[in-house]
Amino acid sequence: MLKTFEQAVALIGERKLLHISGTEALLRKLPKGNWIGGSTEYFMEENGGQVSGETLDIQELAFDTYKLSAYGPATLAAVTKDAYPNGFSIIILPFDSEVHKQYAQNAADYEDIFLKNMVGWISGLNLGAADQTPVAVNGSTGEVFADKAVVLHIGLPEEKTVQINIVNIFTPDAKSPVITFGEDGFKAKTCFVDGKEVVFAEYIAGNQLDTKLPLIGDYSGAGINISIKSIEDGIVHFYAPVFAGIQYRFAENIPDYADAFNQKIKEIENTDAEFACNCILNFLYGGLEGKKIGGFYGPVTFGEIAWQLLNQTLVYLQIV
Amino acid sequence: MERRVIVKLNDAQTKKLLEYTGSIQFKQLALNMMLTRLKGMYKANQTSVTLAKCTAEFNALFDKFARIMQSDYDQIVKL
Repeated sequence: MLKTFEQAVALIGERKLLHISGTEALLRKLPKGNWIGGSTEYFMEENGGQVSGETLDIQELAFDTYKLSAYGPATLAAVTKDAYPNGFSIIILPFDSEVHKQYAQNAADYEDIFLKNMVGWISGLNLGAADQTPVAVNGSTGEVFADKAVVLHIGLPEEKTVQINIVNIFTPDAKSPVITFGEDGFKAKTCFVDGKEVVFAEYIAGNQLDTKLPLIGDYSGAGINISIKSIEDGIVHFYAPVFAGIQYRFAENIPDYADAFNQKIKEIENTDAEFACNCILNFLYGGLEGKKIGGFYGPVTFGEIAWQLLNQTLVYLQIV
Repeated sequence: MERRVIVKLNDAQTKKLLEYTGSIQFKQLALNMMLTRLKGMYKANQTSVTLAKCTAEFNALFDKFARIMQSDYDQIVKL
């Protein structure tokens, strides 16, 4: 829920455990306390998508067992070991940092990652403003990081179960051929289209493909989106890595993102979530500013985490 | 809420799952992600040791999330 800076200070003063998103400038001014934060200026709220440099999205987390930690590239893989045996962890990674890249490429191999409940997001900035840096903040120490991940580990009683889900409005285009890559990475010069190697940028241009639509990876039946960031000097750059061995297809066009989200969310019985985030590309490409998406509210992010890094996806976590 | 039961895969069921080429949308997204990783691991090293390791990983997931994964387990045993 969006709060003013003064309201945020008051909540921190009450020693509440908080997940906070807002601009780097506001986060830097907040007092120390039981909170973690990440930078963004975009939010999905009850009254619709919003862009604000004056307010902060605050999620109160009513849990007694928790710890806040920061991880650099050398320690990041320990994040799953530090998680409570039963509970969940919210991780915030600054966009384009080494920890962002490292987590994106290696998280699936972290020890017991799928036995832990790892959600989170990539922090960002206002795309129209200069002199901003994506940051993650450990509120307990006041440290602001552009190069480290900040994690809130929460422990739950044995009888509680955590469920992480996604809302993916995209489906693979039935007409899209299967696209595979020879190696893992955030960029690709070539790919294989139905097994034949081609220059990916030329394939996209030649087939007039819309790069606002994600590639959907087939994870044994679940669709995981990878978004195209840019095409420069014949190289296609992605917001999350593609992996060799995964089959991708381009997504079908979505005429109305807000309607697509609302239709999907309507099918969800319970929308009470401890954490939710949605993607900046959905916000921008779908023109979500001012549009209401029922059910899940929180920061609009530069990458979403449901165990692994996803793109153009709404992620939410519930306790059942 | 799904009922809580003890579910365990054996190596034969795991092998069938790892070699299954169709699509299954599990309720627990982590199972799709784990399956994809383990498929790659087993494809690279098709030994009984790797298979047993995969079975243990699946069963640890079922054990931990038994309350919400009964329908996922039911899908696997039907393969």
